[in-house]
Amino acid sequence: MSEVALVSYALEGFHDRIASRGNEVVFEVSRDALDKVGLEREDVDAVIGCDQDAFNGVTVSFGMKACAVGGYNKPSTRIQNGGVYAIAQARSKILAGKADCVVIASEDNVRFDETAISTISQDPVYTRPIGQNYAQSHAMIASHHLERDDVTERDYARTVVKNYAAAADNPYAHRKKEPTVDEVLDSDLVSWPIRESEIAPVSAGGGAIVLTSADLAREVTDSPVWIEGTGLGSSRYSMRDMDELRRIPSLRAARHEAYEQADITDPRAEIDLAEVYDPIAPMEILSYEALDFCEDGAGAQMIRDGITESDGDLPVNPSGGAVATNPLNTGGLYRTAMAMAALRGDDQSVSVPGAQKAAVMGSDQMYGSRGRTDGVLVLGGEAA
Amino acid sequence: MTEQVGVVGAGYSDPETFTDHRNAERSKEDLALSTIENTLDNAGIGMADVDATVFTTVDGFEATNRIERTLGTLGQGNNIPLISVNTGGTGGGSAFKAAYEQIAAGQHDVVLVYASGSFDSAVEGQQIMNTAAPPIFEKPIISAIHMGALYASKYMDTYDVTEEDLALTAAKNYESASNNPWAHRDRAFSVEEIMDSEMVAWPLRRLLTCPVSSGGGAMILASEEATRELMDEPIWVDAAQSITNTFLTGYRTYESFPKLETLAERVYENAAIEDPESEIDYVETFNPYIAFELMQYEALGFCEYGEGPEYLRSGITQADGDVPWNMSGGVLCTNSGICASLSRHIEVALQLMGDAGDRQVDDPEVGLSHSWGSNLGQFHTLAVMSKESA
Repeated sequence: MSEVALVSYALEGFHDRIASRGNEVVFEVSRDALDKVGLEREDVDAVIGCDQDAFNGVTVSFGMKACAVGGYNKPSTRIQNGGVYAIAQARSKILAGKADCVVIASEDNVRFDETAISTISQDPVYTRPIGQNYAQSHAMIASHHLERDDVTERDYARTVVKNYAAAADNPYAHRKKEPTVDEVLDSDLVSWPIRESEIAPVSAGGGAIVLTSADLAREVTDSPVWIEGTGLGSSRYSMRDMDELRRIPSLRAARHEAYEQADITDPRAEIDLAEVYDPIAPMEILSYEALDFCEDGAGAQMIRDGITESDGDLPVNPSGGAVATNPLNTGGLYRTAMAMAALRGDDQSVSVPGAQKAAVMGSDQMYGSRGRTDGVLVLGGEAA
Repeated sequence: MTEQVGVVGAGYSDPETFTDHRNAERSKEDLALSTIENTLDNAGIGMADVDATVFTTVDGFEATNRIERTLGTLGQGNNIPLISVNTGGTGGGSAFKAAYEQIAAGQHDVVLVYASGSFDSAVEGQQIMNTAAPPIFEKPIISAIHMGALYASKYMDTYDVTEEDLALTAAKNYESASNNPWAHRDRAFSVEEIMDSEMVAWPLRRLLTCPVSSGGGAMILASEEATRELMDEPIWVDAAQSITNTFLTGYRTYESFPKLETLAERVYENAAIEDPESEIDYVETFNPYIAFELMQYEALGFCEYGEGPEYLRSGITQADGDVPWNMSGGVLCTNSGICASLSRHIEVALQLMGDAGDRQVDDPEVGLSHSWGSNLGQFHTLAVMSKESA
């Protein structure tokens, strides 16, 4: 049995970017997540933030939040790669015997220009001067994908239609619309071949997740979700090798480690659902391949066969994914929470009947696909 | 399943890179590469042996976001985990702690910690730092120097500490820095010179306050097995922990560091230290505003509150004293951004390894390192390392 469990989560949102209640949000979601399992602030041994300064508009932004998450007089830290990396760190802390209960929280409630932030974070010599941002660098991968693999623009549209249909039933989802494939293809072009309905919005809200040791998990909940494996990986900041960008080596490295820890040898058969980061539709298709759900180049066929639809054989993004809901700081926590909901079957947001095992992907590629870090969690539920 | 964690490497970028941040000549990538090469050499391993990298900086100081993505020298070619830690001035201590936890949990065997020099990009860091302050009450008045001056003036007022006490403490650090090739201010200053330097924010004069420096630092932590393979006399991490204070500083006190005292009690318990003065042989603390060093003697349990100046005069913290303290010259002499935060741990490791050159003290076996950061010092970290003699 795994030794670290996710025992509770709480989410606020998600909605259009309105700078609403800022740091109060992390207090509310942390308090709510602890209340759900009857834990008090005194039970929390350490807290971790997973947001980035650029998306909070201030320097060392976790300073404002550490105590609201319950960290006063306790250890705290902040991991900028997002929720999945923070979960991996919290799991290490518990496995190392340094804590029994860790709260991770973040919020997205500051208005900013995500394209400007993306441009500023490009390298200063080659791509920053031409104003490149994440939409364009993602689109370059998409156009390469169209050229090399068995995939069409219609497949991209089908992917997001599937996701919007899933989001329609999810109370936490941000963009609620149910376009047809033709309507997606008719939406405004952002950067060819990516259209407005195929690229993730920026969503406001917040989230918190509580991790505990096995003993504490058994005390506080009947439905712990076990962390059976974690894997992390990085990749080079290079635009020259388009094939490398298409293959997502950072995600493959993370997947190898996570599957090995969780003893997964046939992911297509053993995993019951996945939550992946899909800032644009092609990234979801490419992540099927990187997560070894199919052969390289066969991702689009999974879409055509309906395998990854919510009622398919291997639902991917039953929450609706990032194309519907994309809080930049809280995305990793959000996808993990949605996988928890699916595995527990006790939440109306995401339903995958009988699901026992989930893969969750965390990624910080919102600056553009180069130099990204990815993380993979394998989660196990105890559904009857 | 908790693993023993060792320190197998520590190092800096080349000595000439530790200079005024405005004179920094190397690119960030070059600085990172030379730092990491020097540190891998110190450990006797190559980048292919590293399983994960923990990177730390404060993004705003880099004049970009998530600078580690573009550095390309942190193991991305091998697709290893690259963890980005940002807790302000405690970044070095937080990154060290993150690596320690990952190895203790059995997740990785060899972890590189790289702390960026940070300050060599933004034209003026004060406006960036100022955004970390609570927006309504403190942001209109706070910059880095005030963070030091508020503590120093309250400390002096409460315990009748004099400007000469501060100058004496600074003089000790400058004398030490004259032996340190990686010091930015690298010459001795007399007490008179220090007391004659211009006033910046009372009671802190120019030479009682750190400069703004460049330079990078790194460490390599390893599992017990890897440590025993690489080291004849292993250096073990006995404890690594942090503590969090309130965000609003009106709730805090300024004549001492009570949260550091609490943290020290916890860390000493973890490391089975009962009497710090007799059991700890070497200390490095975060002392950019020199009154902090006296306040740290007190908070870390080496003397009673208010007795810091007397403790300094006793000579215990001098090079030939029982517990030499900040023989690098501390942050007062070299404030290389978030590197300066990890430098405290690097210096303790180098001392325990016997690799501290002209600043080496006589055969230390147990060392304590500290970092301080975020708005007005909201966070502290401490680590205890010890040498296992052959």
